Amino acid sequence: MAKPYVRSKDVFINCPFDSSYKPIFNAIVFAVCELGFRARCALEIDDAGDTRLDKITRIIGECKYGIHDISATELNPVIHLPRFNMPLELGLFLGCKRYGSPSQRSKSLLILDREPYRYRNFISDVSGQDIHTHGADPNRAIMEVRNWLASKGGILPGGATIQKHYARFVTMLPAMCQAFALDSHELTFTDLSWVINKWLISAR
Amino acid sequence: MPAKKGWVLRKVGASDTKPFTTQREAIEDARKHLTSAPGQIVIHNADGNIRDVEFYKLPKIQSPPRSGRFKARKIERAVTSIIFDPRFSLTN
Repeated sequence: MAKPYVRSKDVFINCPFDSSYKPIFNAIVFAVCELGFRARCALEIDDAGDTRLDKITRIIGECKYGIHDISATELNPVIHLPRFNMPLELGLFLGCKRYGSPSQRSKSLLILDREPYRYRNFISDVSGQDIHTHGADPNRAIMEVRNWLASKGGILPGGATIQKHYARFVTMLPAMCQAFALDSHELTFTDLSWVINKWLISAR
Repeated sequence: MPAKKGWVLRKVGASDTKPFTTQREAIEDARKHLTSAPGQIVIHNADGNIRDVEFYKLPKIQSPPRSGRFKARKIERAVTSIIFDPRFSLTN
């Protein structure tokens, strides 16, 4: 595999993709885009070429920043096992930081969870990383993402401004989706990214 | 934006300005409004499509990493039509 080129504006979003998490996921994607960064995640993969892990590894390699939400690490009531994809992708990101080329070592990450210190019960080895909580609240997730990316430099819009814009965007989203005969829940990640992109260019 | 007679400045939640004869005049007037506060100027073609965007004290919006199922122009037209739809006026 060719060495990935680390893009200084790309943010890898590692999070659950189920419908209950969608409000937080959409809020994080929106905040990343409004702050002038590019949201990337495993959902952008749609071709049948390499293995899924190869594709995820490539995307992680290309992203300077990573947002890792481990809030869905909990026992599934049916199979009595947690989902390990999020911790695995967090580990891959940390591995790049630890063992990668100088540009890979410059990566920076934000770890999000539902409650403070919950991670100590299942992934205590990440103590010392930047771990914040969103309390399953999209507005808090926006504020956490904003404050973290603002710490990387540059003059960025404030968290309250992004929250206000996101609320307007959510109000308009179903009407915008009607143009494509879609329900807003049927948008793919790439479609959503384009709608956010065009909305931010035209409406803020 | 193109208008029936010339070019106008259109701001979300506000009425259009008086028309300017040329697009250049409209752009120069828009720039005067953005000398201190953060903002952006979206410049449209005569057909209504976005030609260029100028950002003032705001980060540039990055394009998504790949194309989606729908053409970017189609998304742009759908988004623009809703943004200026009176149902979604800022005063509502």
